[in-house]
Amino acid sequence: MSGMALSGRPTGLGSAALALYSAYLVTPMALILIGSVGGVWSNTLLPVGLTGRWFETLVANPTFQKAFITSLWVCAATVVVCILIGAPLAYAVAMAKSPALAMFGRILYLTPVAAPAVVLGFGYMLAFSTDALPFLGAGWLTVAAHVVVCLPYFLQTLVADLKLQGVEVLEQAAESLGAPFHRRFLDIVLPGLVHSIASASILVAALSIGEFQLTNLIAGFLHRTYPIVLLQAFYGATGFACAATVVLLALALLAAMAGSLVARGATASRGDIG
Amino acid sequence: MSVVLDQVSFAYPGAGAGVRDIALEIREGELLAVIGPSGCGKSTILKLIAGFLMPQSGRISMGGEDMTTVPPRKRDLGIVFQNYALFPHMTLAENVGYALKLRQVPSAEAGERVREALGMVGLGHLADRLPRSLSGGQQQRVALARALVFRPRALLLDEPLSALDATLRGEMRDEIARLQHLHGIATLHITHDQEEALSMAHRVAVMREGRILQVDTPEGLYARPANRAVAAFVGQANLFDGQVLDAVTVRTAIGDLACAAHAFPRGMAVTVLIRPEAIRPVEHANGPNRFTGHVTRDRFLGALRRFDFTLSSGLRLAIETESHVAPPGAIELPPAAVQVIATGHEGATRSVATKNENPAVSA
Amino acid sequence: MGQNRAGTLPRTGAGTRAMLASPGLLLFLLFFFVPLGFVLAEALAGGTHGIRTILASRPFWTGLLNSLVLGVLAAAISLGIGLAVALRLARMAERPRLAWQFLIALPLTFSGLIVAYGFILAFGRAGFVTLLLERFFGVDPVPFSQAVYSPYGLAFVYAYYLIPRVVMMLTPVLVNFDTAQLAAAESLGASRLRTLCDILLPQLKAPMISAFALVAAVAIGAYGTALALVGTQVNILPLQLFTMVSDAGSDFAVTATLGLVLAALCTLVMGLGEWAGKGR
Repeated sequence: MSGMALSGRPTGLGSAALALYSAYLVTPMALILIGSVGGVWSNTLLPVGLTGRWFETLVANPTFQKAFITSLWVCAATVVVCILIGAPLAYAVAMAKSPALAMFGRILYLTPVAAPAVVLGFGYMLAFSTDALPFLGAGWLTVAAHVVVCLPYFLQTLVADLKLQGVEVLEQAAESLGAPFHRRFLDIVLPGLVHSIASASILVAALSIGEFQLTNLIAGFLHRTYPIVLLQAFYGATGFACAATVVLLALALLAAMAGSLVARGATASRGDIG
Repeated sequence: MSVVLDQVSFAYPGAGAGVRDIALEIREGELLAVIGPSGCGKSTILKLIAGFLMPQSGRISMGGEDMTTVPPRKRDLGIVFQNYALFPHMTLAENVGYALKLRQVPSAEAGERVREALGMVGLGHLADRLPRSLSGGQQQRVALARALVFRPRALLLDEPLSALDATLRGEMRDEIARLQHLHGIATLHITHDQEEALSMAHRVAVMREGRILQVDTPEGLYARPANRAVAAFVGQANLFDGQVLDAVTVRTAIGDLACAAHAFPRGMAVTVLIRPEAIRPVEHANGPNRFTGHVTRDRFLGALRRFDFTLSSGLRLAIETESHVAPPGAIELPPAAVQVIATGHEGATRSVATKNENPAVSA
Repeated sequence: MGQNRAGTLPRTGAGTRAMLASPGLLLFLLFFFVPLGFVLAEALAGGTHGIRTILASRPFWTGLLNSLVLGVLAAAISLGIGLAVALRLARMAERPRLAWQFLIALPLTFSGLIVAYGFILAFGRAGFVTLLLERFFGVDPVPFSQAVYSPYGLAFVYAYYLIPRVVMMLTPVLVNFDTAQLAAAESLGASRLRTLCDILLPQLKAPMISAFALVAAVAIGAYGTALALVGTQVNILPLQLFTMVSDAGSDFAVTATLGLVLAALCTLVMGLGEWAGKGR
């Protein structure tokens, strides 16, 4: 699919709206970037002077260091668990013949919106501080929470891809050639999913790195992630807060770029098939 | 190896669709086409034979061995899917060799057989390409090579030509027929294109609404349709309701026609079939089965000419002649060309059971 | 698999699929449904105490109203801008469209904190835009920046990451829209505006309704951005709940009930959208 969609005549109104919108979109990001390398920023339009000291302070700050490392491993673990659990689940949901499983898939997609993080977080505080389940504050519980938050998005990407590729027919072809289930899954289904697993993993990584609402309620003091300590920085010097925020911003940008690279790779390798 | 369906029935859960009491044999070395409008159940038959669906009753056997409950992967059937279902991440050689890999054929031998199979379809030089770089016709050939390389018991073709454009379709018809003949393999060919079925198959099964109406050679189907639905579906046909007056006369809206009706009891409601090319232009209307009228449409079709001939009664007949024949003022329906056939489905069952006999009239 | 009687697919049976799905199901059971179950149990354990306390509380009603205003306003802004942007994007060639979509999709994965701090820098008391407006248009910065911290202002901030959701939902629909219809309408004599209103929008109704409901539900349930932006000063339900949750001394039954009310509200809004979007 290429070329022009809708009618080709651009309207001045639409272009103006787009320009205005992109200003709205870019301004906050740009200000954070400027603030992070600006000297003093107090009651002036833009900061005065250029400095790298905010980043130096940030890097030297043990709290931020530790939180950053925590965020990285929570993120990595979340991605791994999402792949291990999510790929088979996505396959099951995409191929579901039973209405119950298909229904579960739909419910799952809606959970992040239907149950606000603050409610879920309160549930964690109640459930995992009991004698039977005394897990509140454990690092792995944060990972589990992140998986719950991210899995629906992971699943959506994979299920859409499975349906788009017509994996069911490919599997039938493989089956008619004599492939038992495990061979079909390893030889046909997984190789076809490489790209969508990659892009879904990047999405999960980005969401996990930035997750604040749920983690803020359940992370123990020892396992605070980067966004949690970032909030504290907002009450300090503007430059420092900007520099600390830039880290998250940069990671999100990185993820977005990696994502679009993967998407391009997928388009290239699939050509017009499927 | 032959494939036999014995009174096989299948209904999709929740829907009325499916197939009922299918009795069908694909004989060894035979190409059997199943045709019918979409939704008639022809793809269901393929899925049942392949094992992707399991019949609710009846038996499916291959070479005398009961296969009804055997899983698809153990049936050893080569299947060509409608959109080929080539594995997009595997090269042509890997696609074709996948079945051999699963069967743990030693790699030297497998490589040889893959080369041979790709060579057989004329794609030996593209072995290392990925499917997406191929044209539709080439993908089709790979799908055929993949389906044949492991020497399956039978070959199933699911609308194999429907995704190709018209020019390629003719070429691939010949290619499929050639490969089928080369391998001498029992082949089921599902299609909605009657020309495709008639030109390729040894025998054709006509389906409608989940049942088989008739199984016969293409010539037999055309010359001796078992009932009105088959006659209407295969080739061009003039069809009229009629009533048997006696053994040699049927009353129709265009008049009483002399014909051979002795296979039907007097008074029975029947259908009269006259093929357009069997109608003869004549000078005058004196004599049995002759009618006057005038040509209301004249289509030049190259070697042929197709007229719409409107009788004085207002009824219209399609006539086909050689193209040099001038529009006639009168026509004759030679008695031998007036076929009396059953109107309803009852005739179908009877004629399938006695398919080698002559159900109605010899043309 | 029962011989000869069974249904459609004897291959990868329901059993295999259930097995593949089970780790995911278990995880959700344990870390989604069990915690929510605890909230429910806590609320029920207090009998009608929780709900009576909430219904009798003035802040609850103000918070509810504010949350609804925030949800509807944020969704309306997002849908309006999102639709305009999507319409413009759909008219682009594929390459520039993908580039724009890349930019527009960025906020989707942003932490709410980035958004909050960005808006403080832009629209806060000493923000870039605030000072610009003061300098060139004489806008008083104090009420202006306070407006950003009101539910109305929050809607404006939330739109930052809600608009992308709307754009991503509507653009594919618009791109795949059969434009011959619009040409046909214009050839019959309809003006561009009429064409838009009579042909395009009615067919976009379903995705527009679901997009509206989805982003409204997100706006009603979120607290992170608001917390970072205004602390707990503004009275919206999720912040009210957050305050109660973080305060060790609060009444669990009341907190749990409020949590259920909030979740029910979000589910209801989203469910209504799904229903209205599908139902015609």
